[in-house]
Amino acid sequence: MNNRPLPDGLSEADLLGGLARMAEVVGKKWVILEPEAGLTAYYDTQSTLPISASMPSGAVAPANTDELQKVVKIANEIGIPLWTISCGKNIGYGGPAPRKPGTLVLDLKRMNRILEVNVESAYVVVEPGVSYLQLYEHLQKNNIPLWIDCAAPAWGSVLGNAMERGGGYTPYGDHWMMQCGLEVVLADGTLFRTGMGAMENSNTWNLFKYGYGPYIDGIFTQSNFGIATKMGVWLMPEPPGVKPYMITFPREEDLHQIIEIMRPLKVPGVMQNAAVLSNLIWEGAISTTRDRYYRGDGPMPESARQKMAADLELGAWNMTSSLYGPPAVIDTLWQVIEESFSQVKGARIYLADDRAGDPGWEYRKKLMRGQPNMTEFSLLNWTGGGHVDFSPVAPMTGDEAMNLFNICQSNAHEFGFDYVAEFFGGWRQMVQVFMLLFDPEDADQRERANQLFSVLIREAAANGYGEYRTNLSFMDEVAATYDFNDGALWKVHQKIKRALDPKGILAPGKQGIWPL
Amino acid sequence: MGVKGLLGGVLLVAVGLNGQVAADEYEQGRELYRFYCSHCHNPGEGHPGTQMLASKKGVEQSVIREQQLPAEYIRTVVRRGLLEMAPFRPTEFNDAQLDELIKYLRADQP
Repeated sequence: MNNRPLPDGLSEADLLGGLARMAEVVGKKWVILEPEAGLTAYYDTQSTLPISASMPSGAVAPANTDELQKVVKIANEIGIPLWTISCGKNIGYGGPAPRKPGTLVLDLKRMNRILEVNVESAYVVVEPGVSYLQLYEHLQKNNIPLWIDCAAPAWGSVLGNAMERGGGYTPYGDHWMMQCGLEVVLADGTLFRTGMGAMENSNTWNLFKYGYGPYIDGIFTQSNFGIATKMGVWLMPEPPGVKPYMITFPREEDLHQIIEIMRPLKVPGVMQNAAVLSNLIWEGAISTTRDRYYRGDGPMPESARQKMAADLELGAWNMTSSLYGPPAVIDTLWQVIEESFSQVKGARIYLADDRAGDPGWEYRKKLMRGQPNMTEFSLLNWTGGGHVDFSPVAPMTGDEAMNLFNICQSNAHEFGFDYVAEFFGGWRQMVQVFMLLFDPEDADQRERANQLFSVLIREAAANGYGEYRTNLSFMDEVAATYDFNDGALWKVHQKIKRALDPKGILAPGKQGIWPL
Repeated sequence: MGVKGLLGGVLLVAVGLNGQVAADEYEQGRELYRFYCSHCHNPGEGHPGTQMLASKKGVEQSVIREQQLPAEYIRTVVRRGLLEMAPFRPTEFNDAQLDELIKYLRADQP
């Protein structure tokens, strides 16, 4: 007997009956029900809330699309809610765990085939379980001169991260922009392909995004309307030249001038990839630990931060970016970039061979070449591993950057946490990721982190900033901030939900979309 | 021409699929370690697992390949996670593969 959480309205007998039928499809060993059988690996261990808040009833892992369709049909017939994961490494946003306790995790990691690599047109078609590292090693092993673009952790899913609209560090860093062609299974088991893939003998499924008629790929991202089973992903051909650079800026208030310089370089594409601006602690935590500078409670004092900056040759802000292309193009663009950022008093420029032995600069250079690694997790060591990411979007202006920075840092300090953050300069907007780090074994810290996150959602929204993505625990709260015309957009989402998944079995609560 | 084809999943099964005999009894565990563990647990900077263990237990005990950790301890940490290490699911490597990984982790240094 165990205390397995159950989905709403289902008895344990109903659930187990359904799982027995699923086991006939996928094989008994791929229905994982007991903690000892590995169900513990489906818990979110890094949340501000206890594990029970997102504990699944079990997990089922089909090996292919045919098995997946059969599993979904059984779930739909009985009313078993399914939470789909691909590689299950959405760490900081909930990991592999479902929004609601009792939901059955539909684990697609076994569907891990690289279905096509097209060198000529530079794309791949992958299944959900293909990780960045797997795809990278496959291209390397076969001497294929194409780059991947990875999120920082190597174990993430190529498809899954794009479905969450995550980002990376090469010029192909907007993962959803580089998606072309989806295959989707609906709650009733229907399978279809989007765009040109809707033609039986299409030869442009992964070359032309928009197809004919309504363009619907986007409604399957960050949603619970269907399950993506295949995705085309454009890859960047290896460029003839690369020039990574890092520029440090000494003062917190430099943020205003940096962003004002950045925008006119980003909008026309002089800066080609994400302009990543990380603060002192983010960059420093890669190579050092907190207790070397401060052992007290509460946020690290200014004096300790200054010592750390001096020791590590870091600024209050540290920008990493890169240029790509023929050397003559790189040289020309570099002149503009160097002159522009040198206007900030005290700016220091580092190129590829500088900062020898700095693991922070080493992993940045790898990421900007699409070489997956795990180094960024070093910064989770800062307080012991718990973290939730607060990711609001703001206009790319100096005033807005300072405002957002002040909201986040002052609240973080008030609640006793360090401000550890990165600004990602996009095309016209920027995303600030504040990594709220806490000790998951300290109940008081968890509670304070939980309260702080809600305060940040509210204050950000009052200033016009909405989150682009959020942790399971805050999906409803963030959805409620999208309140134009009495929350009309979420009412549209509910209508689509009802049409495509009337019994509401797919990922209940994802991004605040619930079955009616 | 594009390179097309159905390319079987994770490399760790490549040895088996090719029908080759493992070169030594640690081969599967070594490959699992390389693919899933080494990026966090190899010696040296830039490896978050090693950094964390160095700060908690000291540099001498920071590299898991050198620790002869108890098998049950490894099994528990892998399936439940620890601190910033997220757990690994049976769909990433199953219990038989986990046994091979443990055998490799506990083996004397080659």
